[in-house]
Amino acid sequence: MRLLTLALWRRIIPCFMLVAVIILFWRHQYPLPADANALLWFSRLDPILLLAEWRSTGVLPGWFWLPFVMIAITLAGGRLFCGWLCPLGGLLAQLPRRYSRLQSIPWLYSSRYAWLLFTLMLLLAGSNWPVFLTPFHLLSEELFRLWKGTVPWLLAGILLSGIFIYPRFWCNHICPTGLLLAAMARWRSGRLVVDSVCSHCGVCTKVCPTHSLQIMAGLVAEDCMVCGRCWQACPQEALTWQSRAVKKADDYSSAGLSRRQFFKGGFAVFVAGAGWPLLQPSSAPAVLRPPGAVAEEEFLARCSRCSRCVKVCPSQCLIPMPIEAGITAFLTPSIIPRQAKCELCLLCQEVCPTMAIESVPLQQVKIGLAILDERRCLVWAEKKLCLLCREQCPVHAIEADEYNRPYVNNKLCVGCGGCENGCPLKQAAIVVRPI
Amino acid sequence: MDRREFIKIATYAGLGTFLLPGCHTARTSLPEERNLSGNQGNSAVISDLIIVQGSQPESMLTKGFEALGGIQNFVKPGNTVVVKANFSVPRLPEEACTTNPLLAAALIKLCRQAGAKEIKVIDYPFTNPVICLEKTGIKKAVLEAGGKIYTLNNGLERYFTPVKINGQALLEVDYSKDVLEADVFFNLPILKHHYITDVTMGLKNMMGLVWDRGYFHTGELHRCIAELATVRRPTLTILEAIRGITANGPTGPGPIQEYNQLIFGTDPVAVDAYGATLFGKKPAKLDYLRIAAEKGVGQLDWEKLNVKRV
Ligand code: SF4
Repeated sequence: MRLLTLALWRRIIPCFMLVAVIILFWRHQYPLPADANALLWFSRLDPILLLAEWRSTGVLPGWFWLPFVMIAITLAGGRLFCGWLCPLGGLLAQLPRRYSRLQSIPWLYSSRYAWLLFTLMLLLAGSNWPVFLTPFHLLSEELFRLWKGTVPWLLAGILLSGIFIYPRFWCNHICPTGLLLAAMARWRSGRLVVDSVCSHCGVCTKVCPTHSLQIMAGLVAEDCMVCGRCWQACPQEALTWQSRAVKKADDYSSAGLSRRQFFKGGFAVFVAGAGWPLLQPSSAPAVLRPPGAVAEEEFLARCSRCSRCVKVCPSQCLIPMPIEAGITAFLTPSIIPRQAKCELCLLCQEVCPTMAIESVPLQQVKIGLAILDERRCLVWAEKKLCLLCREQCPVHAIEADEYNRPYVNNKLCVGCGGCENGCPLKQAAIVVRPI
Repeated sequence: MDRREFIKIATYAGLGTFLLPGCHTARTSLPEERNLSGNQGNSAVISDLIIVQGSQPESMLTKGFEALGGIQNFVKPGNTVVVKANFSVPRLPEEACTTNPLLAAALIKLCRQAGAKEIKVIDYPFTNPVICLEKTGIKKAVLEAGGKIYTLNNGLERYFTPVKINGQALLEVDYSKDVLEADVFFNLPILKHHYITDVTMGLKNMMGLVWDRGYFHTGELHRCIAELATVRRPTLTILEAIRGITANGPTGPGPIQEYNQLIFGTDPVAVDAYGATLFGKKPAKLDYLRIAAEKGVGQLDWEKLNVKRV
């Protein structure tokens, strides 16, 4: 009865997290229901996000205790977050465990901490691409693709790797959160240990989704996500939970990581990390960003491409930038007023998890500045009674002279793009430019 | 640590961390002709211009229809009613830029009492329709009163049909199917300031029944509005002049004037002409009104009508 309970919880809790994230993401719409910001709080469980936020603002946010609780749990009992709370993990854990020769390529496994170091360097050098790879952000973006009716390539790839290599391949090799927690889990005080009654039947490795038990090795690596499958499957009841630090020599995981490799990896990472800022385009393409977005360069650094702002935008004026815009701008939200204008509902500010879009009151919003081409404007050039820009402007920044000719009051203009969007000319005579 | 403890840790740790945080056939003859003749037959009873004083939309509406001989003079059992309201901008009800939700709800209730089969409230907002529907409070009010409400945005195929006008400024427009097919068409504008046409009322409100109104602005806006009024004459125009902005229109927010009036009329030009006077404008100074009157849409000199104040 007890065993059944564990097996059931093991499915229920991660599946619940996955379904909750899907529903919460779907609820990112106008008017934004109060419960939708639970997604924000879920995302804050992740220490990587804390690191990113600390990098961008220089201060610890009020919710810093949440990732710290996660870290404490990891130090106490290992990757419980990955095994029990991660929505992506919840999905992957449902995959059947198969054998694949790919799963134990030693160099792939031993270079994973070098990869972790690399992503952390990127993060500190000023790019939130690593945050994109963490579960809550990646899932949001991929769910957005699904919602748009396009193929979520990355998610498909992760699932395929889970099916053909082993379920938690992504979590142990790519996911920065998973790797960070794995690194911490090396010092965990409580862990599963295989004792001497083990008959080396190998049943545990067949059921382990994390590839953390090796046949005959009799050891549980730091990748253990404490799902309890092996513990339930073992005919000898050889697995026990022990609350003591195991001697380093016993630790299977350290066997694959020599000191030399570690330094090599570290050096390569340092070089790559230091080189990253040089790779950034010196002159960013001039685009309009969501209302409240921080200055362009910092925006590119902070945005994790989670697409939540794009999802919540009621006028769908936020458009993820295509790959042609370069890797630094890829998937960041931009506004093209001719397609849709910003309605200034400011919901994007509420859902952005990375402070790329800050909470700025309407009076301080400056998406851009409208510039009127008097040579082509219907009122100026043809004396027509158009003034659509004036009708459209929500902040009354378009004023008119005694002949009813429009001009822009730069002080009032917020750059929402209403005028550019409304201009009836084929090529708008009023255009919003980024500042 | 034994199994029991393990279960405890695994489950509670997991749980604990989680807890932290219409199929109408298109008519060949326009239906308002029938309504119009009906009204004219009753002209002894029905005054041409009813002006109701007050500040409570519901009671004002009831009073107005009483003065018109009851809503059953307009809405027959089984009729389809279309109401063109104004919820074009994302403003709160108290900002007085959009149709008062109480008024819309009251109209729906009256129509339902008269036995209307279906009551649709429509607009074609020029800002985000979803935000407009929510913020103006009209969606909630209409749905609660038992009506239908939707916006015509993104629905060229669904909501519009080409109509020949053969005017000087307009040859053909894509016009609202709902309005063309309705048995009863109530135009429910709000009186407020407008940057381009100075003031917006009934005739301007009907610009929201046209798909490509951007074209209006590239040509002769006033003539376009006037010619558009020849397409379908509202069964009744109910001009909401209870509260309205006197500047920064149509978007607002702006200074609010309390006129405390609701104006009913079957002559769309006369209703607007009266409204213009209320707003402090000479009706003849509004080009679209003057042109519409010339085209025979209605009477510019509203004082010539049978005016009844209640
Ligand atoms: S700007 Fe948008 S896509 Fe980028 S992190 Fe914020 S919400 Fe996500």
